[in-house]
Amino acid sequence: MSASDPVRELVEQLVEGKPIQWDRAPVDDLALLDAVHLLDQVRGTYRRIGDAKEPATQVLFRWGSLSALEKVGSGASAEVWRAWDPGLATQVALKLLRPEAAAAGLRSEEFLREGRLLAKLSHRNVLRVHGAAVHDGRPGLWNEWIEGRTLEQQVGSDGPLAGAEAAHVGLELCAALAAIHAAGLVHGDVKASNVLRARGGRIVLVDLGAAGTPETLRASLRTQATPAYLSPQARDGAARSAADDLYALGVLLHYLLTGAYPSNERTDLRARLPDLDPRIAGVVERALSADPAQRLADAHSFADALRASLGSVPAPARMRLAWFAAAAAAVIALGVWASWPAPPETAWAPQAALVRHDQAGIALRDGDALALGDRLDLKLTSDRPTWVYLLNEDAAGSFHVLFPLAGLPHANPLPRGQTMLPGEQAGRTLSWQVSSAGGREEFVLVLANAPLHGFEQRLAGFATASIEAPQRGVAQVGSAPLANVSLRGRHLSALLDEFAGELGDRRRVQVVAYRFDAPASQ
Amino acid sequence: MHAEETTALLLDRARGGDATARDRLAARYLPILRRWAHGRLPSSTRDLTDTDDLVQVTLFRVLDQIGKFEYGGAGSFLAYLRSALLNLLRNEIRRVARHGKSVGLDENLAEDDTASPLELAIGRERLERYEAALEALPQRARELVIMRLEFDMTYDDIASELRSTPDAVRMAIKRAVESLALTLGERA
Repeated sequence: MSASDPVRELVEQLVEGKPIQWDRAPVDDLALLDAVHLLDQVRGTYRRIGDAKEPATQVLFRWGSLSALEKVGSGASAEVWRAWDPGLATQVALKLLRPEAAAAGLRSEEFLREGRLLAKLSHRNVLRVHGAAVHDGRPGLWNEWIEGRTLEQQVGSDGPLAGAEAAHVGLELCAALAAIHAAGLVHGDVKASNVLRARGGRIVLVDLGAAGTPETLRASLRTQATPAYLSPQARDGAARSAADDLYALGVLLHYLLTGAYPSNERTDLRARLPDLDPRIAGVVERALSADPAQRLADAHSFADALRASLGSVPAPARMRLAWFAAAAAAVIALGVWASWPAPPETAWAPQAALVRHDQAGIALRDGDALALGDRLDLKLTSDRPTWVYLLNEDAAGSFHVLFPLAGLPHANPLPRGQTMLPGEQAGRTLSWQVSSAGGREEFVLVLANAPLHGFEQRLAGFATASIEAPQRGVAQVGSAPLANVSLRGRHLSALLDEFAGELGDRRRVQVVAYRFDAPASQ
Repeated sequence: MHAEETTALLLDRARGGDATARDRLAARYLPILRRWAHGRLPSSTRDLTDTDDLVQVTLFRVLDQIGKFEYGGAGSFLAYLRSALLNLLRNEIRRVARHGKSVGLDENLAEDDTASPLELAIGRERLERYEAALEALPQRARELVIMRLEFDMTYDDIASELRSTPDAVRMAIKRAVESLALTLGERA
């Protein structure tokens, strides 16, 4: 037996230490993909333990050995934090029961028991729960931190999926459910907002907080499934089982294909989507049969039916394109907690522009010419504290961090109101000065309403601009949204690609790229 | 890496009682093994000093008995050290589990403090599957996987150990990992 070429590609990425592009993976041997994932976990763990350092950011509190860094979600009975796990040398999502919920002893024990069960599960398509414990009287569990976006977000922004792509997603979720059911558990809340397409294309079933044994799911505390995804039997109050997860998967596939939920009447996907492959439509319709006896018996049967419906259809191109689009404008989802109500947010709309030092009121625009010796400032106006990162790379590949700079009075976060950067130092008014001409110059400006820990950590390894010898090189400045700019600078491109997830959260981050060609002489 | 510093030659000299060669082997492998051990030692026993002590003791014990070690080709010394250290760590884990730490039920109701970081990351059952599949590989393939995936050695360093070229090493590692993945896939 030998691996197919696509699997060899995955192995090559693994061995080279590159992120694995799961969206290019074939789905005809999911066990082999899971094996590659296992080896990637082994390699990744050893590499992190050797290299990763705790983010240089304020620790809000400690829970056991974990350091809580940022609150990222809140629900009725629990709170979720981004935390640092020194043992694993990586970020994790930490879910802590609220003190008032923890005070109910039965709830705490149940929470921990389920956490312990979930920690035994390990599969490429299932969120990895690392453990559960009580520290300082607070029960909690922690799991892997995943960057990506939910299928609900994907359908919301890009529209319904093509038939083959939806079937591929369905196959991966069948593998996830097969693993969960084999462990004697029921997920209990399969839905589009509980499936992440992680950076790299890995499909991950999350929100295992709703999972449990069939017995615990019968208990009143474990019935928070989303109504649209409930089988007719569950809606009528029948005990929940693995079959209900499969019905919910049918609803999810219907949603992925149409952007809508099936009605209570008989599902007729073929009438609704005449261009859809009838074999794929048939599988979904069967999964949604009102009569349980007509449905697919288990996750393996579901997968077999989907695989047969795909025939020899290769991995759909759109799946790949969807990821590349996501790489440019990805969002950070909150892993297992993606479906939790987000804290209310007011719109954040900072205003920033590169301006000439002596013409602070005039923003530089496309076509504006700059000459050697011109001085540039950044004018920022924001209604809340803002983190600013300004980067520059020239045609020769010389890369510098222009802001933040050690030694400047201005540092992140910049206060609300108006700020001019780089600002003053020891009575001198500083600016970034055009000190050379000729070739391409690119700038990237990142604004965020919260610290970008991973990005900051990475920037710490790069050269910063010298205050005594301000940076070189601009002749024309053009401003455009990042998605419309194709950066050529390899350092900038690699950096933006590496942190597409962190920079892609449009609620928190704005990214603008500037590119201009400097004529050799004016 | 100079030719006279290859592991094979250092081992030869160490066997002959050359203390300098012994020290050079220790200096070369201690950092690699320490890093590796931090991924395999449970939180209940994981303390920087403890881990480093264990690694150092293991390495020196192996070097003290270097005369008994039959050099089976490049890479085998590292695999041998890994095996010795893994046995020691397993004993240590058993010792801690047997004697236990005084842990209140409320404080650690569900926490498995005998789990190593690698186990927490991938799960106990998967780690056992990985070890079994690794053991089933031919010796050379197993050594290549360990050097690359576990010790995170560069192709250049592995090539120096094997007296090969980085390109040949890269190809051999890919074949070994592919074989390991196929074995794991079949055992799933």
